[in-house]
Amino acid sequence: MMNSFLIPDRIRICPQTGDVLEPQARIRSLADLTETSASLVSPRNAYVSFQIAVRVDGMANLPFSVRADALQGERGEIAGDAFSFYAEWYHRVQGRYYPDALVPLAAEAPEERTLASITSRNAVPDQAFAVLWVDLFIPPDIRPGDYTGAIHVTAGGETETHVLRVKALETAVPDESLIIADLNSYADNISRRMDSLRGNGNRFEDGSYFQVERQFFRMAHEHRALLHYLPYEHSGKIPHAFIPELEGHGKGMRVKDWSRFDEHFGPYLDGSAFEGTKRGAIPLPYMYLPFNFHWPADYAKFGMKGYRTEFSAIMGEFYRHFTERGWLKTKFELFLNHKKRYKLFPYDGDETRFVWDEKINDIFYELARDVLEKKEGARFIFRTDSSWSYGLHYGKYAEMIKLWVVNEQIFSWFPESLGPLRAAGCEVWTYGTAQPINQPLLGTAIAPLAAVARGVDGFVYWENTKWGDNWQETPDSDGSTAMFYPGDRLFGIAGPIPSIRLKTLRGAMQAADCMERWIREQPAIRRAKIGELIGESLGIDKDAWWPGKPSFVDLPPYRWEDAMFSEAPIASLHKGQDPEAFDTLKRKLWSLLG
Amino acid sequence: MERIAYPLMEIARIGALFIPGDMLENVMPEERREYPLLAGGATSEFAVGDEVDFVEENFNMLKRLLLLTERIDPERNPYAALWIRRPENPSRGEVMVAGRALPAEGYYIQPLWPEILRAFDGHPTRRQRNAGETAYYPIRNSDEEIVGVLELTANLAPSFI
Repeated sequence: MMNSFLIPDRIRICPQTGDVLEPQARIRSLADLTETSASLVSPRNAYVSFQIAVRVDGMANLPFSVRADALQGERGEIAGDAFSFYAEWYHRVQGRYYPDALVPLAAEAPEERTLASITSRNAVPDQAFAVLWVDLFIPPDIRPGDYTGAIHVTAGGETETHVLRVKALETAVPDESLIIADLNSYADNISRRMDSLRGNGNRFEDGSYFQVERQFFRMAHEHRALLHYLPYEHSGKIPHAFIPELEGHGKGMRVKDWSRFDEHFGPYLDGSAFEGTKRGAIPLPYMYLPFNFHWPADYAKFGMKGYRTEFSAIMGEFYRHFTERGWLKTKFELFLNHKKRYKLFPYDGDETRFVWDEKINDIFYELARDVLEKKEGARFIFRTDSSWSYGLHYGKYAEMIKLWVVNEQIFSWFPESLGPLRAAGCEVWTYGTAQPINQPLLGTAIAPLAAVARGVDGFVYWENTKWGDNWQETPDSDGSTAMFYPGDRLFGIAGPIPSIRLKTLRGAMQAADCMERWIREQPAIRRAKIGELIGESLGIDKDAWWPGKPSFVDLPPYRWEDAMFSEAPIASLHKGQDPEAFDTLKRKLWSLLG
Repeated sequence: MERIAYPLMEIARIGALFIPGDMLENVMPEERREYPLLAGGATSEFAVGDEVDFVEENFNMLKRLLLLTERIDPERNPYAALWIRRPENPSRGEVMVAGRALPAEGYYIQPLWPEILRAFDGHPTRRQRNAGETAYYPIRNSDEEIVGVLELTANLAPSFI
């Protein structure tokens, strides 16, 4: 009897029964899944993933090991160390067990990170299967062609060998992402949420914070995503390690010392923090600035000349310092996240609903104008996150605001907005949340594809480190606010561990970046062609990307009521589709791109 | 001569002298004062919060006074906020304007507790909170009616938001 099975990356299986958890999957038997998983196709400079299910039949402490041979091709090989193995951790969501957190395994891994130990601590009742996630990196410098090797799975003293065939394509995924997969979070959440940092009041001074935070940035980077970490609270308060030290007030305000700021952010902005990743030492493409309603200018002076004096002086210093340091590849965002619901300020800087709050755009543009309009040196841009008032604002503020992050649903009501924004040189991202764990993995793949099909530059998941204190059982919001998990509490890893959804997102981003590169050579023709390709493969109607406007769209946004949204058009892009649809799409894509 | 830090209640007394209760009464436009009802029965915190709006001149003046009150004695470094009772349910209250930070109780509408209720009844009240301390001080309008309470808290973590 077979005791191990190969499973494709788009399917998850129940640890108790071995049943496929994706409800729409066409292939549902482990034997059939093994057959389809043994042949992989991948561009170069890309990860290709699959899983290995191992029958444990309740014996959580079953001795286990896995080993991969090098994959041999006619003109080269892919080394065995191109494989990475992770144990899947099961969470209980809506009454079922789903895998999501991935615990890295290694030959030299400590006892707490062996499959037996992980399975034992996961303590799924009546567990019949444990599953490994496998990443295989296809190097950029191998020759395209077929490669063959084997995976040897030893469980309970018996070894089974799975032959693995990989077709490496001519296409290579670019190192730099052309679509931004933005994983948003808020400082200093990592400190609050990592056990290893929570009690350490000296974490910035002893450097432990920086080491942990960097692992989050690197993990996001390696998964073709951007950790986007807003440095201030709604009050405007900022942890001291996220800003330079200032001195003086009014005309005397200036930066006293950049050293703390430079230590923290310099490696992200010159790219050195990402050395050793497969994508290489690419600087962060975007970063929030700490400027807000109450920093650096004192809000007690708001509306008086001293507010401008303080705000503009320090922004000018930022520009000069960043330019001198050569941080020229990052776009630094002036973004005002304040919301009046928290009673700290009387304006919504974020998601303006009451049209009179739009004056904030005018006020802060004027305060920062000298830097925002610079044609050389470090690039500072004004960003807005827009929903209610998007239809009123995209035309009005396109010349001031260069990065528009728009509610996904509301954006889909305004296809005509892209033209004016593009004409003004603006970039557009949509925002939403990650898929909960109990939703099909295809839903995680859809955001990058939708960005390409609609012709936007990126998408945001609004919060990604809110796993919750009980994440190992059931993450907060069923996982929709966590694309990472903390590695410290259970596994002794001083940083994050990834999720299956993060891996799935990376797989979709690889395809999306290849699509986007191809489109940009002839955008007028190719955008539509790729849109059709995605639509055909995923069963998305041509009109589904832009589902029309709601009846209330002409009312002032402050008159929109919550209940109205239940009837409002929403793009349903992947619901009810089988996970194999993404494979169909990739087959067509690779056939097009080679 | 050794400098003696101001008692929190004394800072609250000084701050309250300058805070016009009329502005607090009118810190929201009239049509928004019962904003939870405007959410149309929606229970999500986001839907209720979406209905919040302010009269900026009044809010900004009160905010400025709170920020300056916090600085009366830099050694104490308290955070300040103004609480009101909910017009539709006076047993409940909420922060209406916060200074440099939100009080530990957060921004939600919530049942009021004995110490703050005493201040709403006109009695400045001190509350010991482990190592921290709060002073609650009544805020009056020009008719000498109590329309809010000034909170000053020191040595207690504010709400993180």
